[in-house]
Amino acid sequence: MPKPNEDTLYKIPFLNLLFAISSIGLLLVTIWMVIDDYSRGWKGYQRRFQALEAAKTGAALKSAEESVNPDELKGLREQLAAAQAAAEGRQADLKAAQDKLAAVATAAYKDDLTYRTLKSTYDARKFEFEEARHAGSSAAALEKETRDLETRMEEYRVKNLEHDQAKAQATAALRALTAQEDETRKKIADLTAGIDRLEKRLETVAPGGAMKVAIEMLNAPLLDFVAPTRRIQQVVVEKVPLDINFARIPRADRCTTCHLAADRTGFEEDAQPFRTHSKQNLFVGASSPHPIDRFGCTPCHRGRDRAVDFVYATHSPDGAEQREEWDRTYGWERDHYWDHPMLPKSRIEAGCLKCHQGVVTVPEAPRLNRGLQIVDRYGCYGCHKMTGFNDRPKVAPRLTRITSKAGTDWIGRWIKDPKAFRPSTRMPRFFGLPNNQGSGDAEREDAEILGIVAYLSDKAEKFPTPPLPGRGDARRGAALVATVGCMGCHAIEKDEAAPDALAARAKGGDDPVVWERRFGPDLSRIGSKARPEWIFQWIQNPKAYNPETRMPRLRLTTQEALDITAYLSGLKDDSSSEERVAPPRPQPQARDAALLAFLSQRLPPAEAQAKLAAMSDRERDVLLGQRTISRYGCFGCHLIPGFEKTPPIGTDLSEEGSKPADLLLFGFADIEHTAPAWFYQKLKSPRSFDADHDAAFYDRLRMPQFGFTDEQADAVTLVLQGLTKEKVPLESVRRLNAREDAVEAGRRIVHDYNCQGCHILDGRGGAIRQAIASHLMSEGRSEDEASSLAPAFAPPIIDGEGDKVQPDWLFGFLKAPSPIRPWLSVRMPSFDFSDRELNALVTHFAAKDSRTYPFQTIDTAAPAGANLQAAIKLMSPDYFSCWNCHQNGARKPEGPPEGWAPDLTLARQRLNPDWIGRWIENPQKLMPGAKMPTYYDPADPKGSAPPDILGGDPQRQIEVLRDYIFTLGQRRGGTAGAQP
Amino acid sequence: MALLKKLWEYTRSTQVWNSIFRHGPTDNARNRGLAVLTNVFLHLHPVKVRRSGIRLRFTWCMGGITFFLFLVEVATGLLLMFYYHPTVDYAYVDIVDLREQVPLGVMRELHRWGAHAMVITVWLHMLRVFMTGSYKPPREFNWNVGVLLLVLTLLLSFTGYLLPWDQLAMWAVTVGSNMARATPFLGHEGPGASLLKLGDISLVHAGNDARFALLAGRFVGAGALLRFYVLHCVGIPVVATILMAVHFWRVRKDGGISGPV
Amino acid sequence: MVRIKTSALLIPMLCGLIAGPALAGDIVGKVKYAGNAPAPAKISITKDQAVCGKEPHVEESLLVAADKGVKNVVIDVADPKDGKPMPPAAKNPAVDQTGCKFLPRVQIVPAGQMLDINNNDGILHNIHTFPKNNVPLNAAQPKFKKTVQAKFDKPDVVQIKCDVHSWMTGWIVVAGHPYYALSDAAGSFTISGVPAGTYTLEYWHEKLGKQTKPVTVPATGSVTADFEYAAK
Repeated sequence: MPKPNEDTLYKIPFLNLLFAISSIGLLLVTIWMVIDDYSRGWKGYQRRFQALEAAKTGAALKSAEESVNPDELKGLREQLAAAQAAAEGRQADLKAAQDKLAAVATAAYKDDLTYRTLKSTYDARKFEFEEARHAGSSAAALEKETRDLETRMEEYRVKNLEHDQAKAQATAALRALTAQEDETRKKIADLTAGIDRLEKRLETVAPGGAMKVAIEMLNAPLLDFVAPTRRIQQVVVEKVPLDINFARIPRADRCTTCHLAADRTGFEEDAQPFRTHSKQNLFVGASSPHPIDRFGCTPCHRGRDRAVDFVYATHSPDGAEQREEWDRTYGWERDHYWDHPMLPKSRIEAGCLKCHQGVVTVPEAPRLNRGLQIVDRYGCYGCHKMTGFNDRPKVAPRLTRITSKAGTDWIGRWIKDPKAFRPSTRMPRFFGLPNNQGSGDAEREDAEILGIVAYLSDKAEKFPTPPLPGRGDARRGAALVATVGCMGCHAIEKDEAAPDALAARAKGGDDPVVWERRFGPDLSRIGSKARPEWIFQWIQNPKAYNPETRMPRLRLTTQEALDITAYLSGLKDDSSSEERVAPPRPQPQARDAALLAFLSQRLPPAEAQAKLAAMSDRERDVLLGQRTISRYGCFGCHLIPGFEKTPPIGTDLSEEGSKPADLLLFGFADIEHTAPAWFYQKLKSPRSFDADHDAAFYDRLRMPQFGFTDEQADAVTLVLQGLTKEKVPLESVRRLNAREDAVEAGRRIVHDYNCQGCHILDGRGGAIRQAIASHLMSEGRSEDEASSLAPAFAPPIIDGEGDKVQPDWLFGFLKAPSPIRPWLSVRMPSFDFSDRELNALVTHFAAKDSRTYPFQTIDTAAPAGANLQAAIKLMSPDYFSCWNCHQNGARKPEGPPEGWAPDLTLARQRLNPDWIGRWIENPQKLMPGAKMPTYYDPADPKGSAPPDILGGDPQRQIEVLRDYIFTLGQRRGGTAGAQP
Repeated sequence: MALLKKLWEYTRSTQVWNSIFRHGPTDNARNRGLAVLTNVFLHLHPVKVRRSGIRLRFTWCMGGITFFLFLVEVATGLLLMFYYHPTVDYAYVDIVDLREQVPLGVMRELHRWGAHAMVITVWLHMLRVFMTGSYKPPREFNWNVGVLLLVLTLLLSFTGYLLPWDQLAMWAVTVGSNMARATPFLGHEGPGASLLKLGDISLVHAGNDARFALLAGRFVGAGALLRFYVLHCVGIPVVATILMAVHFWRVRKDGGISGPV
Repeated sequence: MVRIKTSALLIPMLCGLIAGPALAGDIVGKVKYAGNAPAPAKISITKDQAVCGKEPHVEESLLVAADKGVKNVVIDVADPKDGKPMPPAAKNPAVDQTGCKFLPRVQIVPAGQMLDINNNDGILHNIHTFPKNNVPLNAAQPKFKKTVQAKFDKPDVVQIKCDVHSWMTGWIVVAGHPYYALSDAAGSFTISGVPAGTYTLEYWHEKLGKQTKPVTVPATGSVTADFEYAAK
């Protein structure tokens, strides 16, 4: 064979070199790829956490070692050494004992084996014997065998028992020899138990030497499939699935890969990511309502659950400063591709809403509750459909009879700019806003306003307001308004708030008047709005004019009503003419142009013109008004004739929190490109997104301006962020049991009727105290005195009312209140609740205090003999002198009613006897600030009890008092609500 | 040393060795030829090549690189199949897991970059073949096979694009697959479909046209995902392998890599 | 010698004289009211006439002497720098309820010391405190309970009232430092043993309110710090 041709195109050494370089290059790149794939940020965090844990364990170990008494330990160690030394001497004995035990054990084992063998043989033989006997064949031999076996078996059984005893003895003997040593060892172990544990722990978290190298090997790339110590940690959450890409799948929350101490205590002070989660009793802890193994992390915090990288997990910075810091440290950038970015820390409460639905307030979420409260009071749901607000009533008064209340030029000026007349109003502003400042817009808006006025007056029904039957005294009226209870819901802010505080509020600062007293409108200028005849009629019976109103009756006499009317009618608009808004002037041209634009949307121009020409001026006004009302959606808040069934005009916000920022119209607004920033901007200045846009007037943005403060807009944004489209399965949603449901249903009514304007309930409220203090100051008392005295003249605290009163009494009282506390000028109003509402309220109080409802046995034994005498004596002037202040049916105490205490004969129908006992024991505990003094010093009840009655025993004294008081007055009977 | 040599000689004389390696050890032309011919992997490759066949400036080696990338894709794709479920519930999160948690999940990146690179190299190969006139007789048939392979490569990219199941994937495939409904006669919005009617009953409608066949449904959903997965992992690779065998075979049979004119 | 009603001031004053630092002075002065003294308004007694109505009651919330001096003004150094607390008096300070009046009307009590409230009338009284910084108290004082004790831990101005007899009013000033004084019927006062330095002096009266004025205390001797309330 000829030799192969060795010519090559390229020189082989050159090719070899190329091959070598590229192979080595490829190898190096592959190694680089593997290392790069294995080096992840979370491993660094786990290493750092290990170091942290090692430091902490080391410190704990050191302090544990220091806490052990060294002398004690030394003593014990010496004892052990002595015991061991002693044991040395008895080595031979020890060996003998061990040998004996071994021998006994061996013998026992052998005999036991024999026994078992005998037994199995016996069982078999017995079976054969019984079979044979039953079959009738001769069984004598079998019987003999069986009996023999039985005897032998018995022998060995007894031997086993003996062996057991012997074993026990031998073990005891052995133990006796080593007893001293064992005991001392146990004592040392007890002393150093903590230290041992910590040392073991330290070995795990801070391994030394060879172990350390081994651990590094276990965590090395490619080798870490064996038993890595640095691993991804995850919690798979199936019960709160993730909604992603048209599927609902379990979450795999890997947050604890870096946040290693989230569910462990002891790291509360450390920097993130190693900090213990706050409020472990509420979140994350095993016994909390949100344990981490059921809820994971992302159902509340949102974010990309499966990520283990800081930026990829969509951590969101809290403010511009933190964003810059993260940009520097982590190269943070917003991730536009994940639809549920993590909530920044300050907005975490938005995560509560998707599970906590159907409640009035969400526990431990104050900012969210503030937002919900604002949404409820400002009536956002009137225009925008929102989950949780679907069956709420319209938030503003009905306009079906408006002309009976106010004049048309007032209405026009009000619509033009509500805040100019009443700065604290919740009615938003529709006209004169930035997107209607072009040429011709002002005239058109005037025409629109006049159109609305024309429409309302055209459609208004007549409501008879008879003339005033007499003259009222404005000064008496002022005193009445200040004291009889109006100030729990209303304020007269020009008297109460300093002008600079009001000016600051206009610029976005806080409201100087407390929230509960904004429930009803500010009455500062009511005289310029409503006719006196209307006021007179309204305050005596609000529901006659407006059946949906929540304003109650205060059971005013005619003269009282006249006085109040005189006073309120005198509260006029005293702003200067520059401050007042100019009334809308008729603008026929603008009106016609606007109408033409409307009509042209459906009709060709010629017909539209003809239609317009055929209408009179009044008809044109009314039609423009109708179209304007329809466009602006006034009927979302007000009941307006002709629009009773019209659906609201606003966007459905039920899933607004899930809306990606790309679907929101940012226009030219210079704000951050995120949904929360858009919501905030929209709430503060809704029409700002129209800036620099070109649109016909009927295509411009319509949402009115509410004038929210920064804090209010922020709170409502939180609510919007919480309304997501996630559907949480029923098993994970917060489900209320029957008791909690009753509490919430009642709480809804409490909020709807502003009970907290007068009463302190759920730990807050009592806003009327502010007004009572002001009134006391106006009577000449100093500020100190007035604020100290106000609680005594305020309506009672009703926390614990369920515990206190009988439910059917409460039903009757809420239905038709009557005075209980004679010293109060404030009256409990008559709300004219429906039966449904009454039941909800009574159940609410009973459920809150976990009392059985609706029926309980309420009776106590009447005291007799010595007990009766003791009770009467205790109440006598020489002792507790109860009748000095308390009424006793027809018998009244000395002096004017301002000094009287409640009628004790009411107790039988009104109070729960066990509450009476607790009240007598310590009234200040049940109602701090009450006028009833404490007779039994809580620190020393026996020392403060009168020693000569019933042996000076405070418990017995209280019992007889309670039983006696309960016998006073009439037995409960007849219809609930009957009052003496 | 002598011992080693003896050992080597002995090994080479055993039947085990001879049943594996069917050619002799001596370095002569015959054995060199047999080494290639008797090997299933190598025998598609000619024993001898023209000088011009290995001139890089001429061939760009694009065909070889494309084939190499195909092998990379097969290897990485196979590894990825262990961690990917073609279901709507899991497709996306499996990709996230590959990125975040699976050891050597970088296979996903390799697969994706390899796919992009393969499309580029296959176009460059086509360009080279055109520029060097290597489509001229007798190589016309191979050119067509190559075009088919190009189409299959693009289809592999198309089907693979859907598998991460994110918004980009879904909508891209929606747009792409919408074109199928305009197919003449076979697409329900295409020319001719309105003619295929029995009275009021349309024979070609949204529920049975070419687009439906492609997507296993009327929109890109669970059915499309599974179908594309099967096509991407089995259907198209099998066809592509067959055609590649034909393609390499024809390169050889047509006289090797074409030389300069 | 100025008449100091409260014994609680005697001891620290004596201590200041005997053992205090040499660099301490006194603040003396007179508090006046610019307006006209109000005519004494009669209070009608509505309960327990037999005991409470023995002597007529007049409104005592603003007592102005002929020379315009105001009684029951509490004067104290607002910002003492030595951090010394007011030392407890040897005997508990006391407020008596006699003839249905709180006597003295204004009582200064060291923070942390027990205050004795005595019922000398033999009828039901109660002691209802309205503190701002302390725990409130409303203790009944029936006939058989002659003395009730109350402790105030933090400096405060506490109004006390009786709920049974609504006209009864008194004030307790809880002192956190020794430099307090109460003006007498002539409106005069002395605070002794104040370390030398510049301070803000506070004048508080239940009806006229709180006013302040800077004062510089010399190393020895005394400084006069008169004050006049504007007419209401």
